Amino acid sequence: MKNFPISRLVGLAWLATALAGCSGVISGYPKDPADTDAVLSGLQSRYFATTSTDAYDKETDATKRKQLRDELVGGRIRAYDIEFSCLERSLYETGNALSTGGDLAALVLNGVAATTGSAETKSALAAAATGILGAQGAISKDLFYQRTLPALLAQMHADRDNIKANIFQSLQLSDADYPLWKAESDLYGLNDAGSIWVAINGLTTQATNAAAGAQADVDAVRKVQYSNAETSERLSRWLHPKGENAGADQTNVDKLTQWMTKDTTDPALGGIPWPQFVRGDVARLEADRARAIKDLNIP
Amino acid sequence: MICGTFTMTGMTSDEADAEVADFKTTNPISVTKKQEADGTYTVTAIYPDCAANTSHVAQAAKAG
Repeated sequence: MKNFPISRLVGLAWLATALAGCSGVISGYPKDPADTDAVLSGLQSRYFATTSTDAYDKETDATKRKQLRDELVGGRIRAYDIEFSCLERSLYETGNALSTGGDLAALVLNGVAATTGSAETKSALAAAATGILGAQGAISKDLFYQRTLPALLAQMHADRDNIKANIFQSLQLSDADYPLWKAESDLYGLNDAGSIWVAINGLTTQATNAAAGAQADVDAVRKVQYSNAETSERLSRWLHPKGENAGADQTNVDKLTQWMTKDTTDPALGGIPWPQFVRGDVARLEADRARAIKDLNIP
Repeated sequence: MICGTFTMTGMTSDEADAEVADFKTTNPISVTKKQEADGTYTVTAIYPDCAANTSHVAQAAKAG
């Protein structure tokens, strides 16, 4: 027990309770009428044992092989769904229970690291927890957790739904076209899709793609024709109240550039110099200028 | 973060002068005004290079 942080013990104990077959009181979730532990145990012995595929392997009739395959896949999907539901409930309850303060994110990650997964997973989770503690500084860890968790779970659901849809579609195929080993590969993907790390990876990929898309939108307006459109003239008059050649009014420039930076309709605007925005003869910029004129009440 | 090269074409000399002044308020590395063969003016503003994974167009424009 030496050098074992008390927060880690608390997280460990708390999560151990929360993860125990989803049998605890879960705030915000209806109580599952089924005995989850018993159901899961039955599914494990029937569909995950080393002998579970014996009947399938020995069967030579194509129709019966397909039936056995479908049953195996369906049983395993149900088990993965139960496990994922347990994880989701535990994460949400953790967020609610500790929302009044404390090292929430670190508690969860440390707790999960201590209770679940391989050595590599435990190490990664614990490292992430340490990173959160070290990097967040003055930022509320509760806030971090509460803002991040819904996005992570939404990503998990989306990933799992996509994989399940593909599996269900593939189960329409014959066993020859979609044998059990292919289904098992997809099932592993389904299980992994319920992990925090795959969800983080998915969100990171989305963010990267969004950044690349915004950069492409910037690149699209690097070379423009000078515009004398009404929106350009109105903006220019507002930016140069003493005349076009008298220099821009810094207060209005600041208002415009702040608007450009915060605009969510065209995230690329933050990467474009304001003169290019004001005078670029590009349809997209024309629409953006009209929006700026409206938002900033430019006469 | 503004990066790479931005070019505006098809201006009169006075319009180009005004654009040069405006671009200078955005902290570029340089701003140049150039007269084209058709008599119009082009203004080019150059900012720090974009990160390698964010833009290729600006690099190509500079190379060209």
